[in-house]
Amino acid sequence: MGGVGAPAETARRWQTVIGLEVHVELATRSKMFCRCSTAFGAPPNTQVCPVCLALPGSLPVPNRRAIELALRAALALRCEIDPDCRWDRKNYHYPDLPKGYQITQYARPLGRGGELTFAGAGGASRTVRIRRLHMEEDTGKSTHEGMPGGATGVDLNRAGVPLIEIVSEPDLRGPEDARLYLQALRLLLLYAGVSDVRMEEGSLRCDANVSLRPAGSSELGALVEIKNMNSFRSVQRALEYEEGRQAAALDAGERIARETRHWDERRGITFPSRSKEEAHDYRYFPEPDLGAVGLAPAFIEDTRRSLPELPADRQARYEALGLPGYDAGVLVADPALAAYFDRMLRAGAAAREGAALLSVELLGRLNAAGIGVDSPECRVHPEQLAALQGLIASGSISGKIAKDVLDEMLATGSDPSVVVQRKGLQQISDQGAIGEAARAAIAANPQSVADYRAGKKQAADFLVGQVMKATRGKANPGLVREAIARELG
Amino acid sequence: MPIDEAQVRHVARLARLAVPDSDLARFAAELGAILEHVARLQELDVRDVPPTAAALGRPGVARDDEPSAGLTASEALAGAPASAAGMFQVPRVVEG
Ligand SMILES: [Zn+2]
Repeated sequence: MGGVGAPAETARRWQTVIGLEVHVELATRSKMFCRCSTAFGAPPNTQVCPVCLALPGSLPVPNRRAIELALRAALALRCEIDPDCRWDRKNYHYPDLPKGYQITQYARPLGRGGELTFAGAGGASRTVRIRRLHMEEDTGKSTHEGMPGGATGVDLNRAGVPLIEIVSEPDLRGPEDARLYLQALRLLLLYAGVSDVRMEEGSLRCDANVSLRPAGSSELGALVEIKNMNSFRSVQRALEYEEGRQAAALDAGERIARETRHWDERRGITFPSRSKEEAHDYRYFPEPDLGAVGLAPAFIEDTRRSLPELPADRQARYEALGLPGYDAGVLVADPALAAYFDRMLRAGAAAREGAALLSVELLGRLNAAGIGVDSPECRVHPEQLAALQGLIASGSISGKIAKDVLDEMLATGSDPSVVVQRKGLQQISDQGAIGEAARAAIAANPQSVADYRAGKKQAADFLVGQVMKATRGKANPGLVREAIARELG
Repeated sequence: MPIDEAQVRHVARLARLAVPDSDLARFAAELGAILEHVARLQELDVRDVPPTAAALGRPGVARDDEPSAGLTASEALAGAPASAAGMFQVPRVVEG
């Protein structure tokens, strides 16, 4: 199938049902149950201690900040919070899990019954229900690189890093929606300050459950779990491949095996994992070394109140100001850009025009120079860009001149009014001066005048252009047009 | 609460314990007796006792998010049977 989606006919016959399990590393400085650093990229086994190495006699103590960040995530996803949520042990053996169990939450997760609404494929609004959100600790990392004789090396710097797992209901109906959900979830967690959600550094990881069922059926088909999707793009590609694979098998009358498959990014296929017979026999039981998490009602309410404006609310606010949905979405998708825009609004910029000036003119220039809008190298402050928009709105300068002014602002960091003064770019709106320039253009271009009188009305545009050229773009174009029409009689 | 030899073999495998076949019958009997003993707790009337997960852990205990130095890599690896390139060395594991 080579990663292509199911053919149209097949797509009508089968409905795709997808649920995602997303792991997110919390933005703490220390680990979940010990004080080791969580900084990314340190040399192997330099951020470890007796607790995260599972040395005998060591005991876990939960990180208050990790619990608070997990609570923020659960609240941002509108979950019901369990103030008496508990810790459990999930037992399995793997070299990157020194204790032989992972401390997680099984019977009493922090949050249940949440939801996330986002713009799905084609811009349609979709709501995915969140089944549960729980806290747990990360495992270490295995590698084969630099190890003698093909052995496996284990680095436990990541062991014990605080995680949340967010499990959706199987509410997604296609690979593109799955990717868009994941991106919306990432943005929500970024806004809520829960995580830096960098998929390339592994601070956001995603597994998917995919099944196909006959269109119109409400029963779930055999569930296939897909692992090892390491980018938003690969989530969509892997699911498209899997959707096609299952549809082709069902069309051929085969049964889909319930199994775990791995995504191979290079080959663009999923393949079955070597199954471990006891893979799902985790023998969960309550973690005896830890009491209940114990969330006081006041703490939950304070945390709820401390949440900033979330992406959906910001999108709605921008749309209410008159921004088209797509334009609002571009701003909301980048918190730094949205923060810049909010400062422009506070400085009095008009929403639509200000947004265009920001996302087309300023951002175009910054992107070309590889500079972020929140970088100190961006020498145009939001208040200055708002002032530039004000100069256009009041007719002091034309939109065309504004582009030159912006270039100068970027180069010098000057206020737009200063640039306009210094370079003499004030728009010419003086009727007498414009009339004079119009008469001069007509006198210098008798052929155009003749064409105009012969019925070629577009000859007037040429004359307007001549006036604009003569005034170095500073003449008010509307007034020039009027003057040319008047002089030509 | 009797358990059979197949269950002993299963839990031994989950715990990575090598239990010889000759010991299976003895362990089945001993584990069965332990379970039977603990099962007597079921006879108690605990309707008015709130459930608890931990005997000593008080709810709400937590610490501040302040990192501090732990062990060096050489200290961490000192007890490992084998290490290389700063890592714990284990037999090859292939995911997938
Ligand atoms: Zn540690």
